[in-house]
Amino acid sequence: MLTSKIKFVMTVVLLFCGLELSFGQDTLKEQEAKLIAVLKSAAEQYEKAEACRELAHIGSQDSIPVLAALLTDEKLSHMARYGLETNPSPAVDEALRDALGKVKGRLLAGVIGSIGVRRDAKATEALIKFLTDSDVDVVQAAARSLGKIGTVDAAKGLEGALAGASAANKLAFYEGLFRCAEALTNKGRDKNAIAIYDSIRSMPQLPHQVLTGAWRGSILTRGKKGLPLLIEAISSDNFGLAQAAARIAVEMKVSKVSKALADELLGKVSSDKQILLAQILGKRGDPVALPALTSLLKTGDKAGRLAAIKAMTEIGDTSVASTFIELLKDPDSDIAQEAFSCLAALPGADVDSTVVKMMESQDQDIRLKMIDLAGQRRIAKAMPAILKDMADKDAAVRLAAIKSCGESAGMAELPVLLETLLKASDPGEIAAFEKVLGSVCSLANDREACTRQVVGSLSKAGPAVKPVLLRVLGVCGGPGALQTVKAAVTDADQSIHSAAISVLGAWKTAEAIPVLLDLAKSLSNANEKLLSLRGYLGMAIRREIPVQDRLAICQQASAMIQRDEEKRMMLGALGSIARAESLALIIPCLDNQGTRGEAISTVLAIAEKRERGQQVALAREALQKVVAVAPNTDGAKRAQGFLKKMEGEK
Amino acid sequence: MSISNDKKHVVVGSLNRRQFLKGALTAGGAVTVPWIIPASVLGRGGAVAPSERIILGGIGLGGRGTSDLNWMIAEPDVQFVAICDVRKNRREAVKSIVDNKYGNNDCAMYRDIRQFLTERTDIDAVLIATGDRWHALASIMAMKAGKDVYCEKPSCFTMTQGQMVVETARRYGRVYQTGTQRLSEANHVFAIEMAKTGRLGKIHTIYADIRYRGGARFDWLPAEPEPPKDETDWDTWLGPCPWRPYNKVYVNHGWYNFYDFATDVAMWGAHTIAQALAGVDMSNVSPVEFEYDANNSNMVVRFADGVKMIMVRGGDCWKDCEYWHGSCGERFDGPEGWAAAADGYSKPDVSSPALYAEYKKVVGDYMARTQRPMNHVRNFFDCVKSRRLTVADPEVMRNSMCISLAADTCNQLKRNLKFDLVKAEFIGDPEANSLRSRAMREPWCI
Repeated sequence: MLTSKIKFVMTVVLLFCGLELSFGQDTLKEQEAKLIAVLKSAAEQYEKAEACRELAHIGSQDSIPVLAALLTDEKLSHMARYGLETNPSPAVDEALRDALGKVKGRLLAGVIGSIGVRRDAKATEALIKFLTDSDVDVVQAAARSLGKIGTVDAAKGLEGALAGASAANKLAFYEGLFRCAEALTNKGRDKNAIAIYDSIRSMPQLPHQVLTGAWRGSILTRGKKGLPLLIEAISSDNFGLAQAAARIAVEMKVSKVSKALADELLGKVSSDKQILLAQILGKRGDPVALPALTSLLKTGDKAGRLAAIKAMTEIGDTSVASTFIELLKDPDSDIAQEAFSCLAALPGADVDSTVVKMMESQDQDIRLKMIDLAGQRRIAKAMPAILKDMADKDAAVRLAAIKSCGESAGMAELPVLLETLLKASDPGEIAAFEKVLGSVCSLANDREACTRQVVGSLSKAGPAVKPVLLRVLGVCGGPGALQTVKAAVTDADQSIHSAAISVLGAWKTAEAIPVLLDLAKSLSNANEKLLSLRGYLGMAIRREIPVQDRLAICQQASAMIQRDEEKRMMLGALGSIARAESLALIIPCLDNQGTRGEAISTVLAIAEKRERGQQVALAREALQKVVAVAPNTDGAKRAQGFLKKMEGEK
Repeated sequence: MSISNDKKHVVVGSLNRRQFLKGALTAGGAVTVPWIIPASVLGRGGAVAPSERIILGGIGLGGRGTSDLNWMIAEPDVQFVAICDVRKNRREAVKSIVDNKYGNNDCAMYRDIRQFLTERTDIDAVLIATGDRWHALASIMAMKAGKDVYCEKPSCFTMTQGQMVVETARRYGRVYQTGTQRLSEANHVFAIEMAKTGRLGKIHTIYADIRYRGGARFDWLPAEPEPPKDETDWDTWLGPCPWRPYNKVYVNHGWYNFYDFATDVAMWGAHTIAQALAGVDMSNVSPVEFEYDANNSNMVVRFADGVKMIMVRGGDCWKDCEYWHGSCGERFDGPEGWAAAADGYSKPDVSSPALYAEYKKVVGDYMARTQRPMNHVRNFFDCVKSRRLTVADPEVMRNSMCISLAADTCNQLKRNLKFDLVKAEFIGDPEANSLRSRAMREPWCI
């Protein structure tokens, strides 16, 4: 386990002491002997501290006396405890008890702390005496450690001294008593533990967390018999106690808890407590709470009603679906929206069936919401009805159905989607179809199959739909789609031509590189030319394209770039490529106020990654220019730093 | 216990909640929350009602802590009132952020944590983002003082400390959230839920990123003169750790590299293991076997129920790896496919695009089922009011940290280990067990 660093240090120390070396082949016993020798030597604090650290892991009985001797050492007492605390030997306990009479103040608090870590019951009597010490650290350490020891005697000692404890120390006493109670519970001594908890909770003016802890212990340790206490706490006018009880109720596994909480909710409780109870009932997930929550839904204030809806959703019982459907027409839009969101997530085939059935509702508002829900719930059996509704005579129904279809449509629905789109004329519906088709194609495993179907529809489509299909082909990607979109560039219809240019400008994969270059060179319309150039330059940022190709794109594009915006775009690409040969493209941009900032960043990014000997003259020229054009800036300072590193480089 | 020289807290610390809020309302002018009756008036004794604002304090807020702070004070029902830090510049930086936010000069400053916790009985919850060595200790102290706690990761330094955090939270009924914020991010939740709801089939392998290596140095840096206590209280900075002479490198992020102040792979495990464990059934994972293989860039961990966890440790933690692109990733493999998420994802990775089709439903169902928002600090504050368990409650923290720390021990001892997760104990291995705790320096024994 010895680290090489420590081995080295120990070796030096032992050499100094004239002792034998080589940790390498040592047995643990031999290593321990050498570490003990360090502790006995005149070594520095660091070496001794490291030896203590190692002895924590390999120390045996042999190391205890030497470590114990250091417990009184101001500088090494902690590290001596570090070495001792993990040693299982009972001799450590004896050594720590022995040290109690030899140290004071912080060191004493430390020794008491270690006794607590080791749960040494034999130290109980001695620790109890420290509960009345004048040193706050010592008193608190003793209280905590007695708690860790966790015996009846330790608890008695704490209880006996609690009344006389100063305000500053009281929390440590409560902590000690709680620890005792927990330890006693673990030993099956519930009665002792309950007595401690009951004693504490009967005390006046307790800090809220101690009150919580005492009630928690009293209730949970009693098991089923703790339920009346829980109800008492929940019913309390003291909100802090009620809140504590709510927390306890989350932990309590007794089945009647939910009923008790629900009954409380039905009683006269404040709005805050209603919300708290609803939240806890939701977390407990017991349907027995549903009538009370339904009541809150009807009679509560807005915050309470919202809490009730959420809790009912958490409980997850499908019976609440009809209540939620009614709420969709609630005058308060927030309540209606919450009910809708919860209906979307409420699990159960029953709920699905209800939604499908209500898609035929005569109430148009409800019908539209059900169509929407069918999509959000991804109800497979609703798909035929959704597809049918896409051709409904009511425009609102058609639009809702198209959007709903988009939530769960897949390749199976692609033909009918395309067929229906071809018949559509309303711009809103066409736009909705575009979203749905884009979603279907982007999620499809077989994009080529999508392309074939979309291309097949293209020839049948009117001028309003063709641009949509071209954009969907952009989503499909691949050579087949590219070929079709490229062909559409020559379409006489301006909207189709423009759509094709836009799609190509946003193309995501490398096969479009030559097409975009060609368009950037050949198009006459300035905007379209720019769009193609930007699309072409955009390829230089794509990391999946080989660096050499990206660099070539920048080199080709640089001759065509006129505006600063595209120059900055190129600089961004060159920064990500970070190749020294590209500096020639960047240096001119340093002269231009509009591109200087980006050019400096790019030069520095390249300088950072440049290997020694690479494009030395070019790098030096670029860095010198950075210094010249932006003197006294951080960039110039960094450039000077790089230049300094380059000194002598050829 | 030392007394801070900061005068500000003397003034503000003496205000009760009503006076404080009144000050905030009049000085800020733009505060839009309704007037609130103080808890003390209603006999709440510090308990937060669902309708009431949460009074928040901070302990040790540096870079990460400041990010959390900004996140938290954006919540409309949260009022930050005091910062406790052993470093003056950090105290003042936090005060500046908070006072700027509220348009007043009221954020109180404390150097001494015990004074802070004793005096500020008005504070309901604390954000703890000290160095790792203080996380568990400060959490335990704060919960004993009746505060709910949001603590940055890694939330404990040793298994023993982790267990004590669990016990303290239970003992006092405190709400506790460890800062594993990815458990509240939709992409990670999707991957976790895909595993947990069986959509990927029975999960056989999970992966977690532990590529960052932390504290492995044991040396002391050269001694430098200690700064004035009010500027940096070095003794308290060290807290429960072994004493060593001051060097500014430690307090300026250098502590990350030292065994006394940081864990090793557990530091990154604290970021990711909770995510990986969230996707599997934890009821039968123990005992857990850790396999040491110096030639394997990954560490293989086997759970009792047959699930294998691959701790991915080779390479740069900020870069892509075989299983995800980005940092802090996790992945779940089952017979029906796999799902993964990591930082910087616009959407999770899945073995088949069709699996992603359920994204909205999976995340939506999770939120409705658990009533947890996709916002880690909001989940904490909701639970402060509802007293429910947070998504990263003490048990979640304890289990993930025990596994992370056991991996550290496996690395340290360079041999296979068998670990009882329920007892937090290595089976039949006294040397490994000796690494489960570190004696705490006085007076910071707990």
